[in-house]
Amino acid sequence: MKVLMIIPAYNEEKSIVNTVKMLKKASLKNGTIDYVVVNDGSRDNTKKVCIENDINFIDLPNNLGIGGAVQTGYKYALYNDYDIAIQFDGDGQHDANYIPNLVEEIEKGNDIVIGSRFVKELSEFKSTFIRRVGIKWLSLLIKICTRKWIYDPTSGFRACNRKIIKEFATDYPIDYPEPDTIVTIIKKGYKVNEIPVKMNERTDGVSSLNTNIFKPIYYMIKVSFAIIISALSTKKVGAKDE
Amino acid sequence: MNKNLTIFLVCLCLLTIIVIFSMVKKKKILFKHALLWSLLDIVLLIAVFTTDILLDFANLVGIEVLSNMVFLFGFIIVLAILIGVTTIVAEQKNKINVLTQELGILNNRVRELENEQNNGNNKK
Repeated sequence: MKVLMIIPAYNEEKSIVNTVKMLKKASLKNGTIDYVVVNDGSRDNTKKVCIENDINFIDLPNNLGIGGAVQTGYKYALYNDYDIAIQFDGDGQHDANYIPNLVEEIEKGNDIVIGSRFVKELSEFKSTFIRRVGIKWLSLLIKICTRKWIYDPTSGFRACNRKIIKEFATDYPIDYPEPDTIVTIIKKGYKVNEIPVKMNERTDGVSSLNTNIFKPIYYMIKVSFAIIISALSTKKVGAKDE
Repeated sequence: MNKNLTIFLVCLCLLTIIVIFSMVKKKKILFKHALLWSLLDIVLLIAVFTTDILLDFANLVGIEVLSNMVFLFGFIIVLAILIGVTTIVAEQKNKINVLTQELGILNNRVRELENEQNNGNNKK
């Protein structure tokens, strides 16, 4: 079982080394864990830090946004024949101890497994009231569109099998892609599961959504639209063959 | 229509066509886009000489003043071209994305091969 950790990094010079160190310690009973950092045109020294610490990284000459960076990782996984790809944030929010749990769920036959903050109250993850309301709204919207509850649709800690790697390598939304892709995947008829994980407060850097008041509002409108459009435009895979 | 106005409008149309074609020559715009613009220009040129027919048409759709109809259609055409341009932007953004991603992955592979080669040389 070959597992690839995809770590998108934009201006993460301070945290990327620790993230990679944590991943190098992680291991599986029946497989290997590799990682690749996707440096999304960072303006700080992320690239230099990667070279100095001999980190396996892909250097994007332009800033593509989180979706474009993550998709690069999926392409890398596809080209290098990985069985499972796991998205993992470069800012120290995610906990490498949960990797085996995610892999196990994939082995049970799920196509995509989401590490969720809200399935059980495992984590002491504190988020603002507004943020919780926003996430609840997205959950509800996904429920309406797909008839399935996803409790943490914005989680960036996700594992996928070969089928999904191929899907994502071919087609992936450019910015704020998480909730949108979940809808597409469920609509296509793939199996999605959520398992509880603990997430830490980000150690360094600022969330892309905390820079000003308008960003979260714009985010919610955009993501809501994206979900609805995905729900309306996606057809079940193999529906033509039946 | 007033003779002077007709001459003025015809000159304007001809001038636009000349400008468009000189831009194509200098490769500032693509030939297929130039065709679109010159087509529009030719339509306007025809419109200058067929005001009677246009007036009948305006009456038919219920527009009282001819100039209003001309502006309305002009606006619609410009909007249509704008939408066309945004699709071109989207298409190009997608292409740039793919190029950026593939370039990044290729770079990674080159570094990997270089490392392997260096290690091999060191062993020798």
